Amino acid sequence: MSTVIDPVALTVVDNYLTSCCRDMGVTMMTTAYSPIFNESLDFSCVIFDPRGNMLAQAEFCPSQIGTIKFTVDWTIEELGPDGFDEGDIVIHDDPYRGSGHVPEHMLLKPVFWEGALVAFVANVAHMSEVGAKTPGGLSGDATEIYQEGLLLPPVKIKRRGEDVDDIWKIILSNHRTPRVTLGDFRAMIGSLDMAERRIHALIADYGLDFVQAAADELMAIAERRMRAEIEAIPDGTYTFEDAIEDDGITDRDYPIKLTLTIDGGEVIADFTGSAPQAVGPVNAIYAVTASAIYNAFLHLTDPTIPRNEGCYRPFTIIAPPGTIVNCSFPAPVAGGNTETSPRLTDMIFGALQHAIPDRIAASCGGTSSPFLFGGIDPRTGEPYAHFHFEGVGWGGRRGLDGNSMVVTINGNCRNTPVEVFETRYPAFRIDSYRLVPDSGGPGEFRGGLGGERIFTVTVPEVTVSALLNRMKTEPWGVLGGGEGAVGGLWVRRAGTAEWRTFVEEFGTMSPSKFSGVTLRDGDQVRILMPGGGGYGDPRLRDPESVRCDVAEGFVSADAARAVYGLESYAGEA
Amino acid sequence: MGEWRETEISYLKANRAACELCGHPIARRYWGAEADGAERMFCSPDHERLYNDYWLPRYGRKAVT
Amino acid sequence: MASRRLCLGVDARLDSDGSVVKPVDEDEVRALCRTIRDSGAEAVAICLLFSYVSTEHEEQVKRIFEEELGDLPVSVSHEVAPIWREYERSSTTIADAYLRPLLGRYVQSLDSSLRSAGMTREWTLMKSNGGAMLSGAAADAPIQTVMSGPAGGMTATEHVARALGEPNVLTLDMGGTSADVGILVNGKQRHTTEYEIEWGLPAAVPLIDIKSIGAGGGSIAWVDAGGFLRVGPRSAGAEPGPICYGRGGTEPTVTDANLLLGRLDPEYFLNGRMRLDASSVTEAMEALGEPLGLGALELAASIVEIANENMASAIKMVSLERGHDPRRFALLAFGGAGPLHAASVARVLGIPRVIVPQHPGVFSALGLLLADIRVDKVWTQAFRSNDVDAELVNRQFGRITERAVAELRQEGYAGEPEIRRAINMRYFGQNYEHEVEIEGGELDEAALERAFRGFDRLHAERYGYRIEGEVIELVSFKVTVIGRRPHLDLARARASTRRERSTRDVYVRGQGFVEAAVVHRSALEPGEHVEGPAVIEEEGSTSFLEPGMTVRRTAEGPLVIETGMVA
Repeated sequence: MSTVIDPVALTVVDNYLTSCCRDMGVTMMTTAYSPIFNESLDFSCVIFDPRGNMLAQAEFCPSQIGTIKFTVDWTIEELGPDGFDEGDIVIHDDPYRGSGHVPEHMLLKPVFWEGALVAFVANVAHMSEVGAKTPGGLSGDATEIYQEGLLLPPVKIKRRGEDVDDIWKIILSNHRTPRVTLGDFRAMIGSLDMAERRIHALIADYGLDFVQAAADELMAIAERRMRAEIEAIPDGTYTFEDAIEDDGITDRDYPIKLTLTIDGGEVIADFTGSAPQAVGPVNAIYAVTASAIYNAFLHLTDPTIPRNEGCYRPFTIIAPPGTIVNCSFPAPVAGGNTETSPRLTDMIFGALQHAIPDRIAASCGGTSSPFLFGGIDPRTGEPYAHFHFEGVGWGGRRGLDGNSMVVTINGNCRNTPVEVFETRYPAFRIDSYRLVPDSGGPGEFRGGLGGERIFTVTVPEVTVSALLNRMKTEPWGVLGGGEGAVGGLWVRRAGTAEWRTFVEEFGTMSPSKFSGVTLRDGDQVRILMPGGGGYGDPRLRDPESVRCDVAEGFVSADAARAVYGLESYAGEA
Repeated sequence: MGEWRETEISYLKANRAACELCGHPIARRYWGAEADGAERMFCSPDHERLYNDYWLPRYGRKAVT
Repeated sequence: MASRRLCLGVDARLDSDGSVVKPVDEDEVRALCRTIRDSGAEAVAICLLFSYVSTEHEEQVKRIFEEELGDLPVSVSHEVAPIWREYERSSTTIADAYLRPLLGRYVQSLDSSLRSAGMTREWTLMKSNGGAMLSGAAADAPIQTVMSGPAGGMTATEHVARALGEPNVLTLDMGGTSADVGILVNGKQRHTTEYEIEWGLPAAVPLIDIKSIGAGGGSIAWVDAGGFLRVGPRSAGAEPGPICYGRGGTEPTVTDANLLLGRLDPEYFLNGRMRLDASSVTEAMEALGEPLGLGALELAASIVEIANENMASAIKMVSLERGHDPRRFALLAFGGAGPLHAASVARVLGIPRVIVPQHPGVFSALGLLLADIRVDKVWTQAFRSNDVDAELVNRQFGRITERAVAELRQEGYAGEPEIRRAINMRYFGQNYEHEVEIEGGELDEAALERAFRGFDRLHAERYGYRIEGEVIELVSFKVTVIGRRPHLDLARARASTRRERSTRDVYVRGQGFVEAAVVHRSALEPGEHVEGPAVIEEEGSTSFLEPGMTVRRTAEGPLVIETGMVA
């Protein structure tokens, strides 16, 4: 330890900043307007030092937490270190300038102390409407970023505490649901103001010099601890391949190739050899790819390491421009953040399955199942739009079965209660919502179950879009574990009996990715969410667990016999 | 020896330079260095090092962008 | 709480307005009853979608269950927690059903023990909302007793705060395994229906806003993988307990640290009923401190400091995070270990005054004797501020008030009840609402307008902004009926004839061992001061003052420690 800082005081500063991030989140949850904020919690709140080093975060959305680092960096680079005044708030929403995808807006507030810039507080959140080609953004058949919503380079929406009305007017006139947008931005601003006050209070308590020294020390500790964790992984070069299936425009696989080098305390995740960027919206921007790798290693390492910039320093992510993991302008990117990101995180686990079998998990369901819809509320005449997502099964891991129906590994979001969903959105009634037996990949430790949701349209018409994945390629198991079940998406028109794909019914180019389809009163939609991959040979599964799975309806009796070989244990019961 | 340099931020051209090692798009500041017989742009001195130590032995010379 | 095989669907459906989409099929429900009977269930919870809007379907199902299942206890979501979000409502209802047979048996057995001991009068249980309920009523609403212990502490706090004229009080209840902190603002407890909703498993019943953390006398000190010293949440409990209990504990705890630092008297723990043994504590502290480069005493001081920091963080959660500056509060300390740490915790937070009530060790139990009988009733119906059916609201307020008063009467209260009314509101579009207390009497347009401005103020106070001119959504209407019970006059501490005063060396970081005054609480005269460093001993607890602090025995009985921090 180079400087001598009281470890007790360090713990206090670390906890204070983390709890400050949590409080920002609570403020956002309780005051925002859209269910994607206040129910799904699809947002993240972070504190940075003036150089753009992340100082603290909390239990938010992993893909956003990794990405926001790049968004803040770009903002500071572009506006320059002297480009901020007290009371400013900068908005940023441009994937080609470091954000994750167009729906995610970052707000950043510089924090001053006695006239000097001492920190940045920032939050990033998924807006439910962003003025894309179809309501809710994430148009599954977009071919250019311009179709994915209004782009905002880093510009000030508040200057020295005053609203910059011209910018607000541009934003509100480009979103289909300006009222909700404004409500959500107010919540974000309220949360930044609160964080600013909290940081002022910390500095008033401990003095600026101490807080800055503590912040640097915490980053050094995090880096040291992360390197120590990496050193514990056997040195070597590990490879893994997976693919994104169809891009909404062309029905082909986009292979992703990972070469992972562990060298002492350093990690190089190299995606050289991955497919060229897609025409459709499944491309990951560099920040998303890097974020997915950080996410994987935060899963694999000691969760008590302070979550700051130091954690990220041991990593180099090589993602050649023009590929599906680092697309070039103006390729569409919406699904890169929701679909490709979890794939990249899982690939790290796959690559390391033999090196650190006790720490990794099999593939999760790997799709956010984005299902977007919007229209005019017949009760009020007001427009509405929603980004609906679903949980998936998570992969089994040593000692534990995967979680069932939890939002994919990059999200950490909650699902929206049926009662909130139907109250807020008149378009659908939810007919059923359930776990699907046998959807979890078989294994000594079973993959988590996927689920099924069926909706019925209850308005004259509603516009829907989708951007799903893992409808053809199963979530893989590890170390002898089996594959999780794939997902699916079907429609049943009012008065008919048959479930058909959107390709069969509407002639969309892809069954999983499309936009702007009109459904009418009485039509039904069925979404099937993939299960997680299994871990280890299913024949080694504790027979008592298999019996319990059958009793609880997680595994069918047939599968218990055929896959788990339960019969041979019948005598022991 | 390399040095820190700055590019112009332009709203008139959409394509941006990227680090020759990792592919990360460069906003303004970058580490300019001669590597493998050409002037190249990197995120940081560290990426210059990895270009020489990791990239070259593995993939060979990269065409100058 | 309930396994998947015991969760059964009913094929009936209401929509978000409460209209029937699909009616209840009696035959289907009767068939379900057979499944329930065959399963061996001990209780049943009913939770159907949108029952907070219309109770019709749940009532039908409940009636059939009662016909078919006889005495099997049934909890119904619209009765237990009539709030939206089916997951929170279900988990609360299931918890209620889970507790129902247990609490029923508990009430019955305690009642018969009391009777056989000759105590035949009605007795009450503490509710999580800080009120009391008669034992019979408690058995019918078990979920309402969750967290009743901390609720007792807060109720006693209100009493002491009133007596001392302190409107704003933070509480620190530190026992053997955990510390609970709470807050009293303007003399009132904060209630929440969002217990742990931020990041945990929700139970949607009105609860006192309490934060619990694993910091107690038995909390174990350890070094994490990164070399950070940590304290708790693992606890040595009472068995084996801290090392100094001499019952086989080997890991240093907060109590061990206090003993080593001279803050506890080995001869006077639990009024001398237990002797503490420091002999093996030093060795264990040295072993733990070695990799940190800390000697036994420095380590002990660090353990106490970290426990204090953890408690300070919890206090920030109930204060700062709700928009209250802890420096404008007094800190009331109770539980066996609370008074030992409170003055130092107060210093960390900049709190100027610490109050140590009489009988700090049994303070929460005292609360029950002081609690009023309290009934909450809620009516849920959404309105927008520009379109409120005031006549309907007045009528419904009247109806739930009547029901609440009737329940109060059933609980044996004969006096004049106090009635409080509130409306849960949010800006139209928000999903989380806030309770705004409203004035009594008929609600007319002007009164509603005042209520809306009250919401604006509350929102600005809590989140730093209000939205001028925004439509406000009224979500639910709440009546709280309180039956005041005659207040106990806590026997004022009489100056003891015992004059026990001595000195002892206590360890203070940066100063080493310093001589501290050691005084028995009963020896203090009203108005008398003691300068820190000092240790005030009494049965069941010990108070510690750092150098520079002063303690005074008030005329009302509690001790007040001035920490030297200026608000």
